[in-house]
Amino acid sequence: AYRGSRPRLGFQPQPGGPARFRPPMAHGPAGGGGGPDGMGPGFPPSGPPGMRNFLPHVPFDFVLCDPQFFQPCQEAPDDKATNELLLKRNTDLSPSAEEQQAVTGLLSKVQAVFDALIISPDSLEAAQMAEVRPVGSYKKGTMLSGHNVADLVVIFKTLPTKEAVRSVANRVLEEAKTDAKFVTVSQQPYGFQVSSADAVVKVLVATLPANLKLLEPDLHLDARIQQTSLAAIRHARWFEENGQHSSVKVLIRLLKDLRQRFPGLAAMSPWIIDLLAHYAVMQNPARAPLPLARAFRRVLELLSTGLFLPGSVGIADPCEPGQVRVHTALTLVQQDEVCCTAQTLLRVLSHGGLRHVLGLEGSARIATEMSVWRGIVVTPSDKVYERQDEDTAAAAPPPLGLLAKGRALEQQHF
Amino acid sequence: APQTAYQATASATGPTSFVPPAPAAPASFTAAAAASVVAAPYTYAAAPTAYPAAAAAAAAAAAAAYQQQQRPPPPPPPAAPQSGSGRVFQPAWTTTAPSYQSFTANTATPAVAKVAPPPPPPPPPLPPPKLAYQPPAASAGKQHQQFMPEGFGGGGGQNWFGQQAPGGFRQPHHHQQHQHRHQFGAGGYQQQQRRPPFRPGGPRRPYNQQQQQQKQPGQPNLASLQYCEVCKISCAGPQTFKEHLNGQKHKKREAAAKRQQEESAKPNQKQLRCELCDVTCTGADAYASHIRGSKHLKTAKLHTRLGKSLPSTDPIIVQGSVVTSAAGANQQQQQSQPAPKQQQPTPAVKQRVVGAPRFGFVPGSALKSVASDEAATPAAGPPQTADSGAASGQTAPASSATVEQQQQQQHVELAVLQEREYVAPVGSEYIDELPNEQGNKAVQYHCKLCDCRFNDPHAKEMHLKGRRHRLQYKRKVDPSLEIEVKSAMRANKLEFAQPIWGRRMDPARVNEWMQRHRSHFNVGSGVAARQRAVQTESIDDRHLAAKLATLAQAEPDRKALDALAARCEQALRQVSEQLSADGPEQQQQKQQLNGVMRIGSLAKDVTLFWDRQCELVLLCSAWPGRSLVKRLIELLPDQLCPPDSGQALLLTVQTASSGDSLLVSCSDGSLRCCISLTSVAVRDSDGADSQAQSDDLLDKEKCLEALANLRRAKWFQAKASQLESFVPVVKIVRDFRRRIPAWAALSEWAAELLIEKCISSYCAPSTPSEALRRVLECLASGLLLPGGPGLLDPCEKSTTDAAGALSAQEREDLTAAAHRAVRLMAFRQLHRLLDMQRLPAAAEHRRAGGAGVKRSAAAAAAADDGADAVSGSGDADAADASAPKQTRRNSCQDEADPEAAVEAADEQ
Repeated sequence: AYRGSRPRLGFQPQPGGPARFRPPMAHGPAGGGGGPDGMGPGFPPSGPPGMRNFLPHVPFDFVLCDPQFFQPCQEAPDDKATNELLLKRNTDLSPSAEEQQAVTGLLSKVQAVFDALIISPDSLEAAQMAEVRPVGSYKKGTMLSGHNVADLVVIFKTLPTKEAVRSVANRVLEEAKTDAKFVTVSQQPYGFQVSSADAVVKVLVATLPANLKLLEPDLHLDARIQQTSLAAIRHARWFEENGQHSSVKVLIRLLKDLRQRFPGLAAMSPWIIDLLAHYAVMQNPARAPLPLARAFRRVLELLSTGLFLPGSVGIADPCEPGQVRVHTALTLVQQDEVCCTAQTLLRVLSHGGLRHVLGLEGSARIATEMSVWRGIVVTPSDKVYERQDEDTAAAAPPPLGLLAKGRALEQQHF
Repeated sequence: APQTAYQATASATGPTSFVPPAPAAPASFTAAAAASVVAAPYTYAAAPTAYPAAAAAAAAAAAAAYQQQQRPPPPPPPAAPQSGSGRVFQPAWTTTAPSYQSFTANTATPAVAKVAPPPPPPPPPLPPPKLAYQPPAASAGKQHQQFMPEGFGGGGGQNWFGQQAPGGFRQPHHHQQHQHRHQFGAGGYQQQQRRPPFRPGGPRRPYNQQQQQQKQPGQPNLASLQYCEVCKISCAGPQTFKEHLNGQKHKKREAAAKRQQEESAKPNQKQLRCELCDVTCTGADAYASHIRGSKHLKTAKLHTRLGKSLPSTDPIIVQGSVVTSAAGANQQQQQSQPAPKQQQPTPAVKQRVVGAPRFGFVPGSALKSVASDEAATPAAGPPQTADSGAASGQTAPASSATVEQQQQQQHVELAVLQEREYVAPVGSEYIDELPNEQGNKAVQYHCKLCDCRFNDPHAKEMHLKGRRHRLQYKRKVDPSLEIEVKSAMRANKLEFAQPIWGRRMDPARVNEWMQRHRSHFNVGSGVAARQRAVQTESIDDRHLAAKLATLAQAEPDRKALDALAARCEQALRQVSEQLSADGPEQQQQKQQLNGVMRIGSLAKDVTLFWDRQCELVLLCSAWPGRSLVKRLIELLPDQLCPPDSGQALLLTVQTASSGDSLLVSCSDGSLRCCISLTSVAVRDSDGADSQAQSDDLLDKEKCLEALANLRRAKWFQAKASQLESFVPVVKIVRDFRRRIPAWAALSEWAAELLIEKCISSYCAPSTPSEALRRVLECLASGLLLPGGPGLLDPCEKSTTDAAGALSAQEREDLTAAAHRAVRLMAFRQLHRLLDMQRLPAAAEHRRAGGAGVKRSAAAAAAADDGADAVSGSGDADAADASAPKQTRRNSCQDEADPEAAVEAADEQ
């Protein structure tokens, strides 16, 4: 009966029912297992031998607990001020109308070029294009002020050789120059980048998924980068369906800001931040979006309890086949750093340091240095991860999987 | 000669072989048939009498029949109908009683058949039918079965009696004849094969037959009444009947009945059975209650309406698997009913003779004295029909004497049984009679101990004798009351007390456990995965187990502490008696000691090696004063160390430093027992009152604290003690609190509450390491920080934070410590948290353990230590879980055993 359905790894709280944890399912890590989830106990798992019995740990979460267990002792503090502060910070971070306009203008020009190329394929011999899609923070509506970059994925029907990409870039430059000066085009590993004075459009070139196997490293663009670009399309589509609540978008912006300011959080990719924000806002028994202040604190709580630590159930990537936990893209050092920083920030936040956390006051040193809040000394968490060189030589630095490398690149580009 | 033959059979097969597996039945059946060519004509004469034992194979039946032979013919049980309605069931085979006795033995076992005397031929009174299927002639239908009672279905029917052709029961004569002509064995068996498949407990009669019968004109209304024998209910029409048969309720019952048959009554437990309702009661009280109850009355009424014979209300003592055989035979024999019925439209009601009543019977053991012989022949006793017809007229005069004898014997046995299980009702003074709320005359009873109500004096009586009430009485009133240990329950508790912690569970038991708690595991593979995870312990669990082993208190120390507490309790009880005896009336009122209770780590059984003090709370009737403390100091030493007792250890009593509590310490200073005094009156009194007498009375805060401790100890018993992994985590946290400064601020109570909440909010069973990680995560997510929910105290009426005493800095430090601990656990550095040496990884562990290592050491080490490294996932548990299972039981079993033993002792 279960064969058809593939249960999601993440929690799916029962609507109406008590919000107790359901034990998670076993699965191979990073998609390696691919075990017959949901097939019932009779089926032996088919994961790799070492990973067969891995059962992820479910970190503690107040929101997912049955409320009977952790009723608040005091009156809930008034979140109004916090909410206002968060919204204010969000306004600061949002791009101004001019910025927005500049990006939109440049993007629409570039997109028009590609649309024309798609409609009349004979006009360019170097490449045939299948479709063009805006992706990334511009598409999602989570752009930060001062980061005027829009992303566009162009899917080639032909194989994207470097020469083909160059000729396409030249065509775009020609078309764009007709009505705007100061447009430059530079070739990049992922495709090319169109820059005007106040905006940038990154054009990510990918080929059809069926062609990915045919790519040759020297001749064509890197296959992994192309896969990342294709994944970006899926992410944009997922976000369109799931991330439209304004709290989610505000939270994403705030988290991106945190990530920029606190180096410990830098390892989190935009896609992880998207998922985390969505999880924090929407993943609760009532299936109703949490208030922004609660969601913001919850993000730090989740990271503090080790949602993104080894062995944790984490958040399953909804856009990848198999139950891929997104945080497995981080190295262990990064996981430790992220958790460490979030823990310190949570304590600072609890002792009244919201403005410092948001960056309205103070500096980012609160995450790494001892600070005093209303007479209370907050000691930053220290990293605990250490390579266990003493008893094994096999503890090599974790090999980045294909996906992880893609993520790392994605992080650079977006 | 028969005697020896029987003995040979019995000794060869042993008592257990009386219920051989089903497949054996046909084999022995044919063997019997082949060997009994001479006896063949008589086999079926014997058959009807033996059918209650049908589930047993031929050998068993032979032995049973042989027993009958040694005894007088089977008399009717005391359950003969007393209704006097003239519905006399008179099976034809009763006339052949003299012959069948010898012949069952013959047919069944070849060995016996040879030594048995040649049987006299039975009188064949009726012309033989051509086919077993053929409905008998109307004249032959002496016993007309209108309503087909369903036997409580079951596999027990696949036996050679069940294979008797349809209608055989009702026309035994035919079959005697029939068997004259045909070779008994093969013929009869093959006929069987042609019968429609046996449907256990299913509807006896095809639906279309029911409808046909419905259409027959002149059929009395009653005849159309559909009666379900399994559920003991009647349905208004065939449609409803069909619906009922398809219904879930019916199927459930059917399955239950089937199961009941399969797992027959426990061998050492006697049960009383009401044949009418097919209800088995565990005790005489329960039986009496059932007989008085409305369900029984209803069934009896229904049976009367249906014109069925009513068995007597005397209970039938059931033991062992004989029930099964009776049911199977009963069913088989009833299954043969439908065809003839159609042919004979004569309504059953008019005949007033109803065939196939339920058969009460007493196994052979019941005939003997209670204690002896039971084990020897548990299932081989002579089957005995309960029906009155069998006994009343036709039995030989010689047998009627034995009927009485047997009845007497059964009465004796019943009496013994009742006596054995007699429990004196306790605590009747705690039952209130309440006027009914509707203002009726009927009185309601309310048990204050158990907080439950009854409308019925019988129910009240039952409750007073009941286990639950006695447990409550023991807990709240008299701890010395002895309550028998219920084996099943105890096993259950033990299973929960021991399994996951520190030792590998038997996979079969895990499976069973998982099945039982399936509702928790909504997803199939989740069950399997968790099951595997439970079977194999992670490296964290091994670390915890090793740490706990070093923390554990030595058994002598624990016992000494326990003994000290027990002595203090006893002494206080005696002092209480003294106080109430010699004090003047008013004084007595004031200074009564209401009870004493253990609190603290000893009460919770979480003592660790440094524990040298146990704590008791003495509950007084009034606010205790310093005078009472003085009085106790005077009285206690005599009781603690009676001069004549020769106690080696001298105990001294003194007030604690504050003067509010007593401190009983051993003369060598090693162990102490702190007794704090309190009273409920402290909580109820208002401030002014207390201030007026404050010079004498004890400190209010301390009294309230002691009261709170009482509540917490009760909370612990009620909620936390059953939680899996609770005790180990509490012990570990106690160690943290002692060792790590940041944890020291957390009070014991707050820690326990935190742990309880964390474990019980996670529905899946958790290993200690999982539970500990969850506790740390809970703290790490800012539970105690400003803005966090805090720990709501369930033992206080007002909203109280159990960790409210913590200062803001302490909260911050504790959270920071938890933050670090969470990451330590995640990065597999629990040993740093526990302050111990790192244990070898699973591979080395296995290597130390012995054989069975399949992977090369290097590869295993890489997989274990570098598990974090594999594809960056850091799946710490994975490598452990994949280890070969058979080699990893040794690590923690030794440490876990004492604990399990302690828990077992506590259960008792």
